[in-house]
Amino acid sequence: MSSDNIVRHLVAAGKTWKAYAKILPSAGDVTLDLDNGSYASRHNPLVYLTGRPRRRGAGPARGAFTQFASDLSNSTLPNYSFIVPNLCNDAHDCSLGTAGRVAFKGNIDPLVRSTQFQQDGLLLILFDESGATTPTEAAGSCGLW
Amino acid sequence: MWVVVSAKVKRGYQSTTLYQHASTLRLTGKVLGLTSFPNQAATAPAWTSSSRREAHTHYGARPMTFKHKLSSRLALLKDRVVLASLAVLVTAAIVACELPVRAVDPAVRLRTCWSPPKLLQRAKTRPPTSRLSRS
Repeated sequence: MSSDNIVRHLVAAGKTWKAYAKILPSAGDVTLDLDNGSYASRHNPLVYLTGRPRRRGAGPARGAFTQFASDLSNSTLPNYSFIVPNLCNDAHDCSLGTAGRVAFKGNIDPLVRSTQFQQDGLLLILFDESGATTPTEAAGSCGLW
Repeated sequence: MWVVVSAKVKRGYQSTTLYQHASTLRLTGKVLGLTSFPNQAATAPAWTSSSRREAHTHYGARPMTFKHKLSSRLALLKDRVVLASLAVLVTAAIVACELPVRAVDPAVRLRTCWSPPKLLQRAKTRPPTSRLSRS
C-alpha cells in the first residue's frame, strides 16, 4: 500500500507510532494476508504500508500486544498507538461480554486510568462491519488513509 | 461507529451528524498536532467536541434533513434557555444579597443572602464538567 497515510504524516511531524497486535506471530511480523485463526493481518493495516513508514517501522513499531502493558507502565507509549485485538477479543468470534472482559477490562482499563492518559490521552474505539473486501478498504475504515 | 474516551470530551455526548472514515483520520491527525492530512482527510469534515454549536454547523458531512435541523435548533435553543435562566438566577441572587433596610446602627454591617435550597443542592451534586463525543 503506497498511498499516503497517517504514519507518513506522523513521521514527518516527528511523532512516534506503534501498532500493538494481539497474538501477533512475532514482534515486528509484517506477513501479509495471514489469518491463523486468532491473528489476522487484515485487521492490522499498518503491515500493509510500504515506503518510508514500512522501512522505519519494520521492527518494534509493529509489536506484539504484550508490549503494550510494559510500554504503559514505563510511560513509553508512542504518540500514536494502533491496537489490534485478536479475532475473539474484537467480538467477532466471541461474545461481546468476552471481548469486554478481556480486551477492555484487562487491557484498556489500565490505560484509561493511567495518569498519562488522563492528562491528554484520546482513545478511539472503532466498530466496523463495513463489508470491505480488501485490506486496503478495511484499512481505510480504520482511519489510516 | 466509534466511541471516544478521554478526560477532555463531553460526557455522554452523542452526535447525530453522519461522518465518514476520513473524518476519523482527520480527527486523529488534528489531535496529534498535524497540519497536513493524507488523502480525503485533507478535506474531510473534522469533528470537534469543543461546542455543540460548532459540531452542528461546521462539520456536517451531508445536508441535514428538516427534522435534523429542527432538533439541532431546539438543542441550541435549549442551551440558550438554560443560559438565560442561569442569568436570571444569578441576577436574583445578586438582588437577594442587597443590603437590607438599616434598622440598627449603620456601623454594624449586616448582609443577608438568600439562595433557593434546591439550587444549592443541584450545584453540589452536579458532576464535574467533562466532554464525551461519539459519532
